[in-house]
Amino acid sequence: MKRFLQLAALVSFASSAATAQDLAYKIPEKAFSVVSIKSNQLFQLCPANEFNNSTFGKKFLEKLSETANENYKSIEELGFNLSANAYYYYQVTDSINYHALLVPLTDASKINALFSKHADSIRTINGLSVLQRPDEKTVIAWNNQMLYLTYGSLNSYFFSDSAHAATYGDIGTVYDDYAANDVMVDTAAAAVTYDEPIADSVVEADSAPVVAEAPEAPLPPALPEDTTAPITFDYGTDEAVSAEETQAREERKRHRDSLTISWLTTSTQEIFSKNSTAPSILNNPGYRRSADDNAIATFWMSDIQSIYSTFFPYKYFMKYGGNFLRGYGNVNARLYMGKEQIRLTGEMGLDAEKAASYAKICDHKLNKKFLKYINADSLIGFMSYAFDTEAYMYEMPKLLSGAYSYRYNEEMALVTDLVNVMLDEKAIAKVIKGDALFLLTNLKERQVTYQSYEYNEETFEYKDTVKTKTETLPDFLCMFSSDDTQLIERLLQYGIRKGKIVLGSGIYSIEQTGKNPFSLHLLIKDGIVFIGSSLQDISQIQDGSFKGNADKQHKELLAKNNFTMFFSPKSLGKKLPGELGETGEEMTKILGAAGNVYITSAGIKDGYISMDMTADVPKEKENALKYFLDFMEDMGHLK
Amino acid sequence: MFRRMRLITPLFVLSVLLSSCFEIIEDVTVKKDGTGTMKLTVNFSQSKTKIGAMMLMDSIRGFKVPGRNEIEEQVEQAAARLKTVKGISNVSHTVDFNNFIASVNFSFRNVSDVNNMVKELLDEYNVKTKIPFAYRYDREGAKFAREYTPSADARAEFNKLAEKDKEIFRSAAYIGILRFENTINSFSNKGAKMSKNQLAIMQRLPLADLVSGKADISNQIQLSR
Repeated sequence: MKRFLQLAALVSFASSAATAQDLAYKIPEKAFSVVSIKSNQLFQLCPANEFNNSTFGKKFLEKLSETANENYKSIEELGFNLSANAYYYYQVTDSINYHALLVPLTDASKINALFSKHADSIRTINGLSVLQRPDEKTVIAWNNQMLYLTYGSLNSYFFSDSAHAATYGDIGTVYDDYAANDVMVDTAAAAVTYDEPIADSVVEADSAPVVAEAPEAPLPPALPEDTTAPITFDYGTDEAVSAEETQAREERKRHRDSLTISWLTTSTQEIFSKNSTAPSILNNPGYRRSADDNAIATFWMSDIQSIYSTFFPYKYFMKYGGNFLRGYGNVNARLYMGKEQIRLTGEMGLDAEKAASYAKICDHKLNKKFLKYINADSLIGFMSYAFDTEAYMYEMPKLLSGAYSYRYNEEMALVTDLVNVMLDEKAIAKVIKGDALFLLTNLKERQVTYQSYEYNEETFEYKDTVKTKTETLPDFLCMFSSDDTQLIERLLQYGIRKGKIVLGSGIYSIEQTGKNPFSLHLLIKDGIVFIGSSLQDISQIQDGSFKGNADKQHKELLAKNNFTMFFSPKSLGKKLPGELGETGEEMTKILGAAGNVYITSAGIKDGYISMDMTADVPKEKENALKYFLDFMEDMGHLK
Repeated sequence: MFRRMRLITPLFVLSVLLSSCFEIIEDVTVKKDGTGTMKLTVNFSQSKTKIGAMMLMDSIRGFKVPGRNEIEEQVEQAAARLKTVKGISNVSHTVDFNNFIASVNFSFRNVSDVNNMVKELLDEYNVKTKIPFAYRYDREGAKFAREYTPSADARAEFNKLAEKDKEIFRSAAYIGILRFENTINSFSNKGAKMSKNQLAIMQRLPLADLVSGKADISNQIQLSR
């Protein structure tokens, strides 16, 4: 039993030490967005020495050496812990917004060297090295474990409130430097003008991660006037502005910068003193969903709805009430780099009502007959989508009405009903069922005509003449399902009467014109409308001789997803026309070395709508990161 | 009014940047009394597939692609503006949207009217460059001269272009034709060619040579009296 307890204690100590190592617990619980970089994964895929010798790495170190006045040859010389995670977060409060960077360290002395140019300005506060940069509204602080860099911007509407203005004095706003009458600084108490519907939106706005109190910091003394750093705000050269006003503006700016730095310093100290048991972003289930250890980088953002309440000053948000993004939840994205694939997956949360609407719209599969018309031999790419038109027609007014329902609830309900009465959703869904497949089937050389001139040697008079030249043009084939093709046929008949469309052997053709660079051919067969640039393909589909040979993987992707996109760079590279010259050859080389790219979306899962992007890593490349770096290097060499 | 024509400029720039071939034809007829006609043609027909595709888009490389109606309206306005230039008359124009060929025709009272017209246009466009070419006609001496001074600004701009964009100008052709009522006795430009009936002179060269100053289209022509 004793040994068991010892073991348990050891494990819990080890895990708490491991947690302490990861800096996620330092991120505020109400952060608006978080980006994490898994350095460990990154440097496993591309060891530091390889990074240092890569073009990108060399440029990075060169730039850094210039900035720091040092001569860095390796990323390891920076003192960063390359086996722990680094984080960026953005936090919104009512008075100041923070952008912050958390970087784990192995050697703090190297950070001192990094900022050696500013050695005189580095202060020690409670054991922390702190560098305040008022003109850049930035505070950089570090101890032996962590470097913390934070940039802040004050929210002008907070200071337009008379109570806050009384507390903090006249700090002015960034805006009043541009225009004295800017509505943003209208100090009329906006709250008294709010009517009933606005009160509702206040409740909604509460869900946004807006911290309702300004940081509790004493008002700092104004910064010394002899600061040598340049003034970052350009006040212009308006001669009408008096010297007193210019001085007053500069005074307000100093006051503002001073307050910003003071608040940033306070928050910096809080971050360093925060322990792993304090409330943090790790309490947020949405964030935890995004935090995958296998990902090389992750991104998480609080619900999109709060963007509105965050970026619009309160009174506009409340006054106009409209919130197009109501019901859309948090967003996350994860980047994976494996041996065989680069994968980027993104998700967006939906509330129950929206999720139900989207689930109905996405409850539709691609017509399986489409798969017969895919020819894998020359295929360059495809795109498919499958949505239920009828459900879409029913749900769309509802989705839109939700956006305005704060203020125009009754009106929007009326509009929704009117649309439903006016449109026959079933009839529309019969004409266009909601699934379509677009195939980029080939790149082919074609003879095209153009107009030039023939000169008479006797007089140099010239007359128009038609010449031909060879051009490489894409071939495509597009198809969509229709249970009722009468309307489409009537449209085509109308085109024939107007002389724009020609009907021959059951195939409708629109000839190439200046406006239409392709000849288009259209066929209606088996409840499918085919539109293609190749008459041969359309004729073969018509007489049943078209030989499809779709790839098994493509068939699966098309069958199970609501949206699929596929692109084969290799296939395109093989067919690039010679007319592109040297650039074309380089492009062919790059495309030939690139793997296939897929983008898919499979509708709603667990209340999240998702999108997945995958790029295959060519076999000869060691892993995704090296492939990516090589690819970027090759692209950089393109003329 | 002419300033509005700047809307077409992006389309021309785009057409040039995205096309593989185009030609510009300058066809001038000068009568004994110094009056004459001029026809300017820009033919993008060889690149019509690319331009056709381009016109389906809203914007390319940051340039807004004007629609057909917009182009027609602007060309109408340009033609109307030409009519107001002193000494210029019988202005007509055509725009062929199937082949992407545009041309403008007009009569002039004197070749100096054409020089003035070019100057007015350049002033309206705020183009601060010396007029690269001018026509002179000496009726008494039956001498016609085209003076061409390569523009240093144009050359500098050309040299700044990426190699692939320079290539486009290399494959584009400039054709200049000068026609007279009297036969041509002699002409100074070795790159030009005389018609068999001795009443016209033609010079054809890559547009790049003209812009970069490599080629010269100046010509002193002595006509028979």
